[in-house]
Amino acid sequence: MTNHPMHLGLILMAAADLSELEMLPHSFAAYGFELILVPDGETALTTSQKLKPDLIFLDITLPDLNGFDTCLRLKELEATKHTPVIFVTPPSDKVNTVKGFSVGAVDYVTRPFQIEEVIARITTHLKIRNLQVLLEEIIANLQEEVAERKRAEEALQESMLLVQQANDRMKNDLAAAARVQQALLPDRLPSLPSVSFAWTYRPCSELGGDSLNVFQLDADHVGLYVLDVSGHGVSASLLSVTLSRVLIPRRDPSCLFIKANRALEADTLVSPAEVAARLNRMFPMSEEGRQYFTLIYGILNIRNGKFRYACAGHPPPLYIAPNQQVIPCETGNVPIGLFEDSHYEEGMIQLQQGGRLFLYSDGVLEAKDASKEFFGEARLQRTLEATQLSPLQISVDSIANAALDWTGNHHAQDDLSILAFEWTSNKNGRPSNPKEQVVLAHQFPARAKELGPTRAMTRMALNNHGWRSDIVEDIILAIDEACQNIIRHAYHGECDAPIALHIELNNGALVVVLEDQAPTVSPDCMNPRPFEDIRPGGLGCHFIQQAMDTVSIEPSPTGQGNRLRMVKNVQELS
Amino acid sequence: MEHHVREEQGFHIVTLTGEIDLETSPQARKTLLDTVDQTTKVLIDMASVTYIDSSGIATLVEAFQRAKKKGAYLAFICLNPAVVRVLTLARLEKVFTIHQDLESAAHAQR
Repeated sequence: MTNHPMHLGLILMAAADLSELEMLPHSFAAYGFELILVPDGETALTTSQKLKPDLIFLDITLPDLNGFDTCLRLKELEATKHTPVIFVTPPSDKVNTVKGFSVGAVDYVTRPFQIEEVIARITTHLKIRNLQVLLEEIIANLQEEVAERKRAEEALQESMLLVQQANDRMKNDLAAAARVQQALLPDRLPSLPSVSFAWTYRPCSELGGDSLNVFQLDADHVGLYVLDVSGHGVSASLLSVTLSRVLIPRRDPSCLFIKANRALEADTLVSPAEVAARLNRMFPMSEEGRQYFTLIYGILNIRNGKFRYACAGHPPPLYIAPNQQVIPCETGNVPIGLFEDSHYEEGMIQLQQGGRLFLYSDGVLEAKDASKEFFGEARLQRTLEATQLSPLQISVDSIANAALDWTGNHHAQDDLSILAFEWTSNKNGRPSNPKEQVVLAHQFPARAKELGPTRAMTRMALNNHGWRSDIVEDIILAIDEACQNIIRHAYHGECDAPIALHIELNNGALVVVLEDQAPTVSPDCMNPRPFEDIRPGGLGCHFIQQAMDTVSIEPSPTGQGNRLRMVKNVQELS
Repeated sequence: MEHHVREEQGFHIVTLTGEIDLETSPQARKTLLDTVDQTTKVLIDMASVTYIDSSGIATLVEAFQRAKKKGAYLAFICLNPAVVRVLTLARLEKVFTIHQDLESAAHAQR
């Protein structure tokens, strides 16, 4: 018999009568197994701990520990607790065979040995053992994988929480930024005898980059601008806020609009083209920011009605003289910040008596309907012509409303700003002391019981003017419904937060402004619902729309809350 | 403000008074719906209503619809111009049954 070419395993056998088994290692070796013989239980224990055999045979009768006790000890020890143990019993010793299984043995063989049978048992149990090891490995791997997955899931949940928190923080920041931006819109328009102003600003759902303002430069001149920073979002808004801060007339050398002239001992105005050029030097487009802005800045001489302006990549201002068609004014310069050495040309318009000029951002032109068609210049001009006999604020609000209606869902993709003025010479101009124009200013808590007294107060104030009482009642109903909407939908119920009602006469328009301090509401809430849907809210909006010429919601210029503006042409009141 | 109900010529007549607005319409609603639930011929006398807003109109619509559903008769009498104006704005003047007064309502029922 030759030795088997492969080493298939190490076998330990404890037997009392080793002398009888001398030839056994040779027989095992022929099948590829190395057999080590030990004389007693203790030696079996120590040897097996050292050599870690693949399989152990134990004689039931050993001189020191018997085979069962040895087996129990082997199963307690780390190195051998999984090692298969086979008992060696005398033939037909059923009792000991059963006992052997109970202490952890996997099989038994009987003496005298049938070598082929013994080898067959060894092979079988080693195979089972190997499969068990493999199975345990697979299970361990699976458990590891499950644990890994669990850790990954936990990590994912944690990072989702972080993303959520970051998202919430960002939303708050964006809302705060929007408030900052809106706080920079004109709060009070210059009150001048020969010119009246109107404006509206409808922010898009994101942070936008529009800004506008009008300010008195000196006794004879007024400055006006509308600007639009490219793109929207935080960076556009940041630049727009920065620009609103820069574009404030101040009595200091850094002022963009006025420079001190020592020779004349007087201030001179910086020309619009020079203002544009200065801004172009101050705000070059950075490589990474890729941000520029379009601007129209102009100076109106309120005595002679001349308007000088520089238009930097901005839509052309629209001029309309009484009973005439709209004339787009010239434009043509590049936006601010695009090129280092841009040169800006100026345009000039001589306004006629009652002539109106409209400055606006491209959000008006580019309001898109469902099929992506722009609102466009033609519709803008038609709206402007259709409202040329209405008070200026109505005309401005009508344009913004028409552009938003065009989108179908009242969601502007971009900010939408309009700033307009109407020039009348000093002689024919209506005196416009703002104090005399206020019809009613009243503030009250957002509670249902306040509405009755507020109606009574409004009725008293409006009836002073000798207007048609039925139309006055319609207006009172509209104001009442608007207050209800503020209580229900802006404040979400009665509370002590204020509603400020302000009614004034402004160049032929009765302007009703209601301000709250609630979180910003969507302008959609002013769209009446289908008529069949007869809930008070929708019906209320319908009443408001019926009673007033234009209705618009915009963010309050104080930076918090909403401002509902409802305008009625006074001519309709008599 | 007080709303009361009386019986006359086979009708239950609910007389609404004063201003029906956000504050007062819940009370008007209760009186109206209770009457509609318990009777079958209801008239709503609007002569003393000095003001009505959308919440008041919604209350009238609710009472009208509930009466219609249970097959009861409900009509409005003695409308003043203030009320007519708001009903017209709400386009309800053709939806509601409206009579000049109790006599004409009774006459129409005969």
